Amino acid sequence: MALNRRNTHRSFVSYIDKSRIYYEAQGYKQPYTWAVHDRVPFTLPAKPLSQCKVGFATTASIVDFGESVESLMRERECYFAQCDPPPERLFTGHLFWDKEATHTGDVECFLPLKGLSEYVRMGRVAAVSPRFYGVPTDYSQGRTIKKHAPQILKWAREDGVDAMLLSAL
Amino acid sequence: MQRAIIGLALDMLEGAWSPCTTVRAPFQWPDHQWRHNFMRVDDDNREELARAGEERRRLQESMKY
Repeated sequence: MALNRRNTHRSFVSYIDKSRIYYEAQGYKQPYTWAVHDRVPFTLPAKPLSQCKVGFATTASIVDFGESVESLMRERECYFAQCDPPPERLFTGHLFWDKEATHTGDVECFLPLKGLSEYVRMGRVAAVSPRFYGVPTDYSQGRTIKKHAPQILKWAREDGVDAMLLSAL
Repeated sequence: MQRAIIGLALDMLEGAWSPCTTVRAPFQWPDHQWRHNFMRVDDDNREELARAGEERRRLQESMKY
């Protein structure tokens, strides 16, 4: 008989608490705040997944901006690129993620286009979108909602995408 | 592991019936060191973080348009 698993920690750390303390240490006077939406739009897929064309959106960049903070602030435009062949490299050095715990040298670990194609071959998904979509990391909700999201939606509709997977770094 | 994670995402597309549905992947880091390293603030880096914040605010000011 298998024993119940026992944990010494909860599985996650509190990103909200950590980010508030982190930005406070950087000298920001206003505490870091989170958007809270009491009502979230939700739509069930109109058809089975096996009939859906699935797209990917990522916050990784197609341009190498280096690793400086200034680079992050200069990247402001969405982009698209072809899924086939998948990109050999995308760039994440300017983004904020745990660079001690992992790396992004393997594009499949954050933009698994080859993996998704395998699910197409298995018949679980109808097709992969011909393009994937890049959205800049932006600390402005206004730009995300009014500029970037509509741009990604426009491209996705042009490509006949039924569902989108978002991979944020 | 990558294929399994995509599979979980596809499960979500198929199975979620309400907003804010969350699925936890059954994968863990091999040890707990990441909990300490991620967004670390302690006496060793407090001055460095303060300097980085100053630099960032200076850049933000210079890039306003």
